[in-house]
Amino acid sequence: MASHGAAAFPAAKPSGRVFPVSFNDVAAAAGLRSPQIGGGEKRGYIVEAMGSGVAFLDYDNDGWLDIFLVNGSRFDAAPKPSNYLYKNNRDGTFTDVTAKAGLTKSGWGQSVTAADYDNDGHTDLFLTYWGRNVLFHNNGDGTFTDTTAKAGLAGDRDRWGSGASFFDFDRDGHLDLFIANYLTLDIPRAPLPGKDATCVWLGVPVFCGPRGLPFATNLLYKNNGNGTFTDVSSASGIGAPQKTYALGVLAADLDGDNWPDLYVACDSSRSLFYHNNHNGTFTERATYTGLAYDENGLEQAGMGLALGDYDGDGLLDIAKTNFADDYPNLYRNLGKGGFTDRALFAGLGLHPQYVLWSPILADFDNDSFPDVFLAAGHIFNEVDRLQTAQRFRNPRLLYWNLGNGKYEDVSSRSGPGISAEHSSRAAAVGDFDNDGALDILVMNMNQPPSLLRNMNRSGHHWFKAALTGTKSNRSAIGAKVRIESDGRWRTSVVLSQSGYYSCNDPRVHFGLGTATKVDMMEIIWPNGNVETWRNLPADRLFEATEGAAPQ
Amino acid sequence: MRLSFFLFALPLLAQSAAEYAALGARLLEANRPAEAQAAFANSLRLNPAEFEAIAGIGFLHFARNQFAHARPYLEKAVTARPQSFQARFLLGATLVQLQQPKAAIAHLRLAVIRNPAHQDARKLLASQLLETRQYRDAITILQPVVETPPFDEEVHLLLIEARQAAADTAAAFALAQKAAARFPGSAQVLAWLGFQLQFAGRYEEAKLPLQRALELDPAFPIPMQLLGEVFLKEENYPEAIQWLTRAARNMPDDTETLLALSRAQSESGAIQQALETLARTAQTDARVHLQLSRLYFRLGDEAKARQSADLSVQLRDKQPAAPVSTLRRR
Repeated sequence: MASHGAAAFPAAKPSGRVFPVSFNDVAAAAGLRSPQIGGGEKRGYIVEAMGSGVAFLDYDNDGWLDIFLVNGSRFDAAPKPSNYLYKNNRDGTFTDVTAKAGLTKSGWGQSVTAADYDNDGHTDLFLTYWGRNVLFHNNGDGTFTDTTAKAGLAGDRDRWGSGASFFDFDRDGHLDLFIANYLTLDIPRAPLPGKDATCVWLGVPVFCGPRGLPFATNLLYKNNGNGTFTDVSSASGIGAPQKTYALGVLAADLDGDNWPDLYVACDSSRSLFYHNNHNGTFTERATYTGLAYDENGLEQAGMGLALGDYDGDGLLDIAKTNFADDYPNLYRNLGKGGFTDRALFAGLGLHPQYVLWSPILADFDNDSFPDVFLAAGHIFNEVDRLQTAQRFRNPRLLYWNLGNGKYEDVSSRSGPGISAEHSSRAAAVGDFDNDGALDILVMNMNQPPSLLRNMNRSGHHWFKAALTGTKSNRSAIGAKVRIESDGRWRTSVVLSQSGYYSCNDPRVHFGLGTATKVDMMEIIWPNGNVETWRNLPADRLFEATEGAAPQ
Repeated sequence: MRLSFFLFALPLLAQSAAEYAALGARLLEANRPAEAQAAFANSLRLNPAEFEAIAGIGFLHFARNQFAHARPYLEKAVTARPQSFQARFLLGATLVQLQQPKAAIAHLRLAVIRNPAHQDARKLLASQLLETRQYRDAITILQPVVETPPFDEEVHLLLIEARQAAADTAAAFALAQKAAARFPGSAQVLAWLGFQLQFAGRYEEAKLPLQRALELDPAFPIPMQLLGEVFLKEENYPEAIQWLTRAARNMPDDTETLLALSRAQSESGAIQQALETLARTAQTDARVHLQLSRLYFRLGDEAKARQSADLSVQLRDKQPAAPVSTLRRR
């Protein structure tokens, strides 16, 4: 892991304002009691440290978010756990329906991307593995079928699939699939802890990698519109970049041309920005758009990515997490593909002692400015024995957007759900209880997940929109939603994966502050068509179907 | 008059090596180096192992900046008398000048043990520890004396730097504030306080000590540069350009300043000027080419952008160490 020896950035003067949100972990009470496994207590290989994804999705179209948890595995003789699907009972609890849904599967699961790839109205699941990836087709009756081979996604060999995203790169109305690959881990040939300098950390033998292990390249599958996919990795240029260890993925229009691009956070190597050339090919532009390295031109150990308009200028900015001894990035979008890192200016450099994983950019207090949540947890159990400020288990970090380009660290005053210490990885945001306040689902290594219920006392208003594509892909993945309220514009995008290995609530959410209505909502659908709605009431979910806007 | 006569007569009276050495020492004190050297030479002719004479000649070479010549005498002196603080300190200082920090540190450590109250030895040792990135050791050396009156400005400056470089930023900040109270007329100290405040994101507060530092020393380029960086972070590009241009005039070869100026120019839309600024920088710095690649991309020349990006990576791979963010290294 790339380490920069970064110092803790001193905190700015407190704003003196009261953060009106508190998070309580209600996972156990909600019935989420099964652990997500990532190796044993003693980790011999890097795959045991990476964790696995979580998803908020509505698999049964009842308007209530269900939960899917990807599970990892272990090398010892203990029973191998399965992934889990939990159905929302609409009363704050969930029921494990994994077996009934036909989703029981064990293995070294990594990430989850959820979308309706065949436009049949039901959300499907694609899971990456260290091994063979899996496509689960949603049959629409509460069950899923493994259609990986039929869809042509089985691949030619075992790989380490990491992040993945459904997105419609050619805007033909059918969701294509990008799959990042982390590295090549061949256990019989993999070096053991302490083998060389890449397998020693602070003088202690630890598992090897990613440095020193063989790189992997990324994959792009084009949706043929008939339930099958074709590998276009080579022809599209997606497979061209070499020498990267790819993890988190964002698929969205990042340079304002209304064609979806890809940004990939890479561990201990340069990150990748694939610009969509509008002709089925991509050009990798991360270095000169400011997204590849830190400001000194050094590689970072990128983990997860989040997208949001943190400064309210209508352009989508990116939050990226990194390994310890470094700062996260907050890439401000300058337009036309240029970005500048404002993390330190914004006040996000306070805790370089944490290994950060899933970032979330979301408005937790509905004041209309997206806040930042960061899941943290070290990769080496050995760290607790060392004289260092780093620990295996850490609290979560929560930064409150003050509305002036700056954030305030409110981690210690946001309730027990934030201050509780875990070694966390993935995290997803969504309103599982439909109260208008965004909740958080967090993966904890070898523990049950945390379901952080948002107890928002701000009294602020909110607005949500559920999008359905008709000409565009039905999940509306890639749709950009802009709302105007109280004279200010806010922007959000429908994504099929973000954070680290995770899948957020597919409904876009906006805090409105004291405004009681949305004056205008503009949707730029994935195919580029633009529709506008006016005077929409606050504190409601609005269902927007492509082509249904009043003329 | 009487002393002068006495010193004039002394060479006639000296008989032994020790007496010649003592004479040399007195002549040195009287600032008569040529005669002192002759007396030391006479001493060594009579006894090649005469410590005072060996050390004296070593000192004379050191005082004349003849460090390579000083070194063998001083090494011989510390071998002859390992307990001598003066010989150790001089040898350490000589090795500093010869840019042999590892050996210098070894001798300066022993010098500080022999004479813990000697501030110059302590400061020289700390500066070498900082040069070699042994920040924690530098803190250990400086911390015991920072609170001892009379306060020493340089001890404060070195300790702030050590704390900062050791990632102990809260302590560095606190000490910078204390130093500013103790040395309100020091432009250096005020520049450090400004640096700490801007590092803490307290941009408005940072401007005050930086502007005061410039009132005290209008030609001091560091506060100009820091003011430029503060305005750059605040996205006040005209002000940033103004301060960074002034800083660059005083530090024409400083890459940090020119890079910041180029960034401010490009952010304000003056891409061509930003390119011209970068042309004045060391072309061996990977960050320069990284910035160039961004400028070419903004100009729509993707081929050149890619070329610069590739060169940046090549240069970075040759110089992989991350720059340490401290004031002194700027």
